Formats: sequence, C-alpha cells, structure tokens
Amino acid sequence: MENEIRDFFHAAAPRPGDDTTFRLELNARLAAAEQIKQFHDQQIRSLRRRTRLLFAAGLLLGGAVVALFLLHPVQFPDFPSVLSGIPGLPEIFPGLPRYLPWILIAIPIVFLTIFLPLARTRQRNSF
Amino acid sequence: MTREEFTALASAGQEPLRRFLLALCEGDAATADDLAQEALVNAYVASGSFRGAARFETWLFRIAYNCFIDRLRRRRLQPEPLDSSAALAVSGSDATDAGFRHEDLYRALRQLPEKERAALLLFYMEDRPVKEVAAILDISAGSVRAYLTRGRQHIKTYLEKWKTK
Repeated sequence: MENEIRDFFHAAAPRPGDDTTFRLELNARLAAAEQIKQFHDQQIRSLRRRTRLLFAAGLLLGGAVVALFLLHPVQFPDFPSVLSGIPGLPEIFPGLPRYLPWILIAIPIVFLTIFLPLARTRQRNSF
Repeated sequence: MTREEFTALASAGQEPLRRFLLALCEGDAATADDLAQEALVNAYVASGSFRGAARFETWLFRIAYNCFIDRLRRRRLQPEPLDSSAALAVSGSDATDAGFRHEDLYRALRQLPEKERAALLLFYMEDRPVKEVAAILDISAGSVRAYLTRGRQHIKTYLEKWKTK
C-alpha cells in the first residue's frame, strides 16, 4: 500500500514551469529586498548585542549579591514584621504580609505562562 | 550571507519547492511561483537568523508552507476547476495526459485539510522523513503519522481508480 501511494504521487507530481523566467523574477525581487535585509541584519546584531549586555549585567549583579551575602550573611527577612513596619501599608493591604510569598512565586509563573507562548509564536519562521 | 551564497544554497531546493507549492495550490502555476519567490525572498531577508539547527531546505520549506497558509488566510484561495487551463498548462508536452494525471492528484487532495494535504505531499511526493515533515509543519511526529494514516484512507478511492487505468 505504501509503495502504491508513493508511486501514485510520483506519477501524478506536477512539473513546475520555465526555470529561466522564475530565476530572473527571483533575482529582481532579491535585489529589491537588499535594503530590507540590511535593516533586518542590523536589528538582529543590535538584539544580540543587547542580549549579551543584559546577560553580562545579570551575571555581575548576581555575583555581587552572592559575594555580599557571603561577606555579610543576613537572615532571611521576616515578611510580616518587615511589612507591618512600613507606615500605612497594613491599613491599605491588610492581607499582604500573609500572601506576599505566594504573590512573589506566582508572578514569574504567570509571566512565563503568558509571555513564553507569545514569544514562541513570534519565532515561527526561525530555526 | 551574501546574495550569491544564498542563491547557490537555494538553487538546489528550488524545483522541489516549486513542485510542492504547485501541488498545494492545485495547479495554479502563477500563484505557486509567486509563493515560491515570496518564500525565497523571506528566507533571504531572514538568513541572518538561520542558526543551522536544521537543514536549509527544511527551513525553506517551512517558510514556504507558512507563506501558503498566510496567503490562504488573506485571500481564501479558491482553486480553479480541474478542467481549466491552469491545471492543464502545468506540463509542457501532451497537456491532456498530464492534466488528467494531475486531475487525479488534485481531486484526491482537494477534500483534505491543508496540514494533512501538506503532510501527504511532503512524505509521499517529496520523500521527506516523518521527522522532517514534522519540523516543516511545526507539529509533532505523532501528528504527522496520524495525518498520513487519515490521508491514506481519504485517497484510497482515487488510488483504486488510478490502479485500474
């Protein structure tokens, strides 16, 4: 069955038209797209440079925090007592001290759930 | 990548690409060639972001398929009737026989959804492996196999008719 189907498709396969005309038209369109390509390449270079800088900055910042923590070890803050010390905050958000750790965990999860699929959709044509 | 490098790389995959799009467009050579050129231009513009994670042809076919889907969505592509000049004018010699062969294929494929049609064409006509078909259509290998199984059932009737000729 497999071979029969393959033979059917090969036998019925359409043949494209004149190659010369196609190549001439393609070359004209590629020449016209030259400026767009240069702009696109410039954008990619700029994006890659920005990504490298952000990555380096993140490493430096993370390294500085770790170094600071090792040199001056501090206890993990007691959120309820820290937040209750901020003037006015306990009256506006009475439940905040209790829920703050959960909010801090939920924010990156929500961010990844919403923005990661969007970023993937935008990269449809990239390999 | 310079234009010359891109042209050299793309020239090997041009005929399979045009053939694939021609079958997808059910014999409309003008639209198929326009889509092929659009895909090649898009590939050239985006060649800076091609990281070599897959074969160049796979990447090219993926862009071409996306162009076809975008065009379909924008214009609601209406296939011409199979006895029209577009379907018969695809091959140069002996137009009647060539048109009849293509008519079988187009009739078989017309009833299928786009992804199923593309999966069949890539697997059987272009002899691509399942993994590559999955990469081109941006679906899992399991989905490709499911499409192929369903597609085989759909075209069984036309296959029987073709065998009796």
